[in-house]
Amino acid sequence: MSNAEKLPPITANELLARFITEKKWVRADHTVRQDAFIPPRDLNLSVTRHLKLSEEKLWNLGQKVVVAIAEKRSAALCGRADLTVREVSLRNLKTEPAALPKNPNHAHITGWPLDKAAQKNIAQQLAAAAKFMPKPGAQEMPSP
Amino acid sequence: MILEMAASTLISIGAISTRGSSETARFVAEQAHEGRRLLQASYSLGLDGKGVFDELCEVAEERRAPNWDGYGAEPVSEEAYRLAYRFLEALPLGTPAPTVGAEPDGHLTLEWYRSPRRTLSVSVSPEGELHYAALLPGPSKAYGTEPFVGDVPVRILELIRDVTAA
Repeated sequence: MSNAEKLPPITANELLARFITEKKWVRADHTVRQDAFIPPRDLNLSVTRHLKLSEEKLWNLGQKVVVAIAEKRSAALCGRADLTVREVSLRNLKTEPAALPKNPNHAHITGWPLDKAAQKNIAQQLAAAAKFMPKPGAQEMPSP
Repeated sequence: MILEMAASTLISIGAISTRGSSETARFVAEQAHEGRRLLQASYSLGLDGKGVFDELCEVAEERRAPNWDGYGAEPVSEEAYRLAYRFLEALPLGTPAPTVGAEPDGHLTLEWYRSPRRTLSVSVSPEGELHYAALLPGPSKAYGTEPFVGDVPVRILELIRDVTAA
């Protein structure tokens, strides 16, 4: 999908990708740490809707995420954590479209509690439900 | 006998502080601190020997700039690093080593992990708060916030035990 106006409504079964820009967010056994799902201060957690994007186009979008970091320090896209919209809804969170000029599939996970410990608890549940997909050709994850 | 008791005390409780102001009290506290420092350096008992303090330093150093995650993360502050260091020092000797990470709000995290659904994460904030959350079998609530004033809260020690117990 390349035009935000054509994007279909978000459905429970569709997949979301949280791009992994930190090796530390993934354990050596390729499970995802809660750190990857802790929301930022504005409580809008960035994800990308898979929709009908090919794997190649999905990785290209992820690569754009790391460009901003790469200007300040070495950074690489390690992979992505995939989970369904249903897993988000089960934690009383919402998935809302938030198209960006370079990523029309961009969305936010919203509705986070203000309490930091409660955020961590939800982030742990999302991380446990997510499936890590390493970026082809990315460096191996570090040992714990 | 006295040495055995001292070692036992050093292992079973966290960092030793003193409220005494006499020369003797200070001497005892200094000796206890030195003994504990040496035990921390051992591989079997101490987190230092397992490289956790080095990992903490590395994680904090690499995340001192804003937007270190590409999503607009806050930098890890010197205060967050200092408090996380003190928290690790205060853990009882023999505590399994956590892995160190960072969160978008600049908190440092310490994780004890057995499986994705049996894990504990403790965030150390620059304001001296410990935000913890655990996934464990059973329905009990396992998250909350405790102040860090030098001693590791009992609830967090219990959760470390529950997560890491065989």
